[in-house]
Amino acid sequence: MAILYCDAKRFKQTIVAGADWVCKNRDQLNKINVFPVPDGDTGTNMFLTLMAAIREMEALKEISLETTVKAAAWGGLMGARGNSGIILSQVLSSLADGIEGRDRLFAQDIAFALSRAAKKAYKAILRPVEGTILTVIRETAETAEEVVKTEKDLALLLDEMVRSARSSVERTPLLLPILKEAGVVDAGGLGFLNFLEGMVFLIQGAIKTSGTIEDEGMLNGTVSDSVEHHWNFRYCTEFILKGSRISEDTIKDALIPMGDSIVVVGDSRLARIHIHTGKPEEVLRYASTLGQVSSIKVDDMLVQHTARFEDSTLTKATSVIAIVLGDGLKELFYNTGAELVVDGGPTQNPSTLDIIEAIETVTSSNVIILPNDKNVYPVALQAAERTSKKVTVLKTSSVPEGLSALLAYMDDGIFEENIGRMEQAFKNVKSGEALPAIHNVVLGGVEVRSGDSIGIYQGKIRCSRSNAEETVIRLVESMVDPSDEIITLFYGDSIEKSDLETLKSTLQSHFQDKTVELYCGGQPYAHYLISVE
Amino acid sequence: MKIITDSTADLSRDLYQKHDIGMVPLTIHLGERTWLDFHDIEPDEYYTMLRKSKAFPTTSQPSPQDFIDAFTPFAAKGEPVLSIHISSKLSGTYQSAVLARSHFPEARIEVVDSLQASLGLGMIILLCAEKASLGASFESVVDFARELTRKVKTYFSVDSLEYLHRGGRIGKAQAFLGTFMKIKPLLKLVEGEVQPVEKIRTSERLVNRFVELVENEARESSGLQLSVAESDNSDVMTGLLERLMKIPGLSLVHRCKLGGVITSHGGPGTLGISFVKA
Repeated sequence: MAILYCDAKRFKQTIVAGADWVCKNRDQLNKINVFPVPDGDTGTNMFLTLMAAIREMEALKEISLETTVKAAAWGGLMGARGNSGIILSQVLSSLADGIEGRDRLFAQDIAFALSRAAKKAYKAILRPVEGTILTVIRETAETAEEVVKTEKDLALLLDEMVRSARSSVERTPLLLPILKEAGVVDAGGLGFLNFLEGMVFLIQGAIKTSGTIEDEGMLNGTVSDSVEHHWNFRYCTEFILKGSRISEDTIKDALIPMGDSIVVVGDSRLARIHIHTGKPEEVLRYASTLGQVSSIKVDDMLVQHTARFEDSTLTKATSVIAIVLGDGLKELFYNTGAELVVDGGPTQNPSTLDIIEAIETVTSSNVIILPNDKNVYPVALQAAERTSKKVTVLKTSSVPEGLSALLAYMDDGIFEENIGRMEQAFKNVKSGEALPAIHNVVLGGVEVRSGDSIGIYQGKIRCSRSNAEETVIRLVESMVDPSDEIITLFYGDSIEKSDLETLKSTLQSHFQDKTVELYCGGQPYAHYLISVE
Repeated sequence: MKIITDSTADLSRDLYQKHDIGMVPLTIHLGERTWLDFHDIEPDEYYTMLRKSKAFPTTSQPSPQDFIDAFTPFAAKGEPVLSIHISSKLSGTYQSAVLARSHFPEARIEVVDSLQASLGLGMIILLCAEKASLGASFESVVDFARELTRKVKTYFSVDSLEYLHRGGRIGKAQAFLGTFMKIKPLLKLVEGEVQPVEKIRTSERLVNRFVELVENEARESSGLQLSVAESDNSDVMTGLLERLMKIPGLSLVHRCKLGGVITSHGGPGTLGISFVKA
C-alpha cells in the first residue's frame, strides 16, 4: 500500500523509529569511528542529537505538522553533538524550511529538503571531506530527487533512499583512505543509513525482526592504531552563540587559525559552533565578543581516546596484557602496569579470539602477554601467532608469577629488555594455592574431604583442612625457606573479612622475620593464592 | 683555593677536616625541635629520633647571609672559592649561594649546581679536593667539578616513597606511588631530579640489581670510582659493598651515612650508590 503523505503523527513516529535503530547500532558506530578523530562517540552523538529532537517534539502542547517539524529542527540544533550530529541536525532543520502553514509533507518535499540539507551541511563543515556522512547525504538526496520525478509513494522513496545510502556507505573507504586503512566504513555515514533504515523498518512493520547490519560485513573492522591523528587540536569544543547579527562566514574565518573540524550552523540570531582546538579558552573568549555563549561543552578527545584503551598512554613502547579472574586481581594488574586485563583463569578460559582482540586493542605493536595459568598459555600462544603485532607470551603459570613479572616491567623500557627482566623476575617467586575440594578422595597420601580447602604447591597436594586459613598456614610452612622475605596472600571472593586479621597475625607470629601482606584477589576459584619470595 | 659545600654532601667530620673543606649547614625541623644538620646532630642519633617521631620532618636551606659569612674570609684574602651544592631542583641552597656570591663582585667565587645530593655531591667534592691537592689550578678544578656533575650517576632505593612524596622531592618517581603492592623502589637522579627505575619486592633482589648496575658500568670502562651511603641500613650496605668490591676495576671513593636533611626526605632504610668512570 502506498503512503502518499506524512503528517505530524507519522513524522514523529518515523523520527523515533530512525533514532531507535541508531540507538541499537550505537556501540558499533562508536567502535568504527576513526574520522576525523577516533574518539569513539559517533553513534552516541548521533543518537543524542536525535533524542534532543524527539524530546522537543514530546514537549509540544499544540500538535501540528508545523510545530512538530519545527520542534524537531530546534531540538536537533540545540542538542546536536559532534560533527555527525550537527550534520544530522541540518537534515531536520531543512525539513522545517518553508513548513509554515503546511499540514502534510509529500515525497517531493522530502527529496528537496534532503538536497537542501546536503548543501547546508557542505557549507557548515569548513573543509568538507568526501567519504563521510556528507557524501552519503548528498548521494542519497540525488537519488531521492530522481525518484520523485516519477514516484509519489513515500515508502518506495524511503526504500530507494536506503538502497542508495547503503551503496554510498560501502563506497566510503574508497573515497577516504583512512577508513580503508582501518578496514571500516564511515561511522557518520553508516549512522545516517541506520536512521533511514529505522524508518523503513517501521513502515515494513519489521523493526523487531530485521537482520543486523553486521551480517552484511560492513562492520568487520575495528579502530586501527596505525591511524595517525593530530592531537594538537585535542579539545572538542561546542557551544551555542546567541547574538543579533551573527555571520557564519565571519565566525568560520576567525576560527580557522584556532583548530579544525569547524562547524558553524544556525541563523543570524543563534548559532551552534563546533571546533576541535588546542585552546578552547581562546575560542570561547572570541565567541563571547560576538554575543552570549551558552551550553558550553569541552571534551578532551585525547583522554576519551585514551580511556577507550583502558587508561593507557598513546605511545607506549610495549603493552602488557594480563589474563586473570577476579576484580581485586584485575585491579592489582592494572595498577601494576598492565594496559589491558582480560577475564580468564582456571575455571574460565578465554577464547583465542578474546586474546586476539585484546592484542589488537592495546596501543603498542609490541605486546607482552601474561597468561598466569597453564591452560591459558597455549591459547595465548595461538592468539599471538594470528596477529601482525610482535607478541611474546611469558610462561607465567600463576597469578603471583604474573604480578612479579609485571612489577619488573618498565613503561619506557625496550621490548627485549623488558622481557628479560620480567622472565628473570617471575622465576624468583614461589606460588601456592588453597582451593575448594569437590570430591572425597585420597591424593598423594593426603585425605581430602569434599568441602575442604586443599593446599597445593609445586603441583602436589600438601594438605587438606576444613578451614581454609589452617590450610594456608600449613601450606606456607611447606613453601618458606629461611632466605625468603615476603609472604603475600590474595584472598578469594568467598573469604570472610573477619578471618583475615586472625590469619595475618597468626602467619606473622609463625614467620616473625618475614613480611606478611594481604590483598583482595576476588578470584572465584580459589580461597587463597599465595606467593613466597 | 677553598672548597665550600653544604651539609647535604653528607661527608663525615674527619673528611671535612682532612681536606679542609668548608660546610654550611641546612636546618632540620622535627616536631618542636630544630637542629643544624651535622652540627647539632649526628646521623645515627637522628635515625633513632626519626623512627620514634610521630611528627614529619621538614628542612630549610641556609640563608644567603650564611653563605656571605662563609665566603667573606676568603674573599678578603683573595683566595678563590669553589662553592658546590645540592641540586637546585631539590633545594634552594644553590640559590642562596648564588645570591651571596653577588655580594662579592670582585672575588673569585664559582658557585656550581652539582645536580646531585648526598653521596654524589660528596664524591664530586672529594675528587675535586684530590685534584686541587695535586696542584691543579682553580680554573681546572672548577671545570673538573662541572664535568663531574654531568658524569656522576646515582642510584638509590628507599624503604617507602612516603618521605620523598611528603617532602615534595618525589619527581617522576610519582609514577610508582600508585602501586598497591609493597615495593622497594629503585630510583635514580637524572639532571638533578628523582626518576623511577624499577619496582622491586625483596631486599635480596634489590642488592642484586645494585650489583648488576655497577657490573654493567664497570664492564664498559677501564676503571670505575664508587661511593656508597645508607641511612639506618648498615648491615645491608656492608653486604652490598663486599660484593661490589669484588668487581674488577673498581675503587671506593668513600662510604658515608646519610645526614639528617637527606634522611628527612628519603626516610630511614635508604641505600645509595654513586659512580663515575675514571
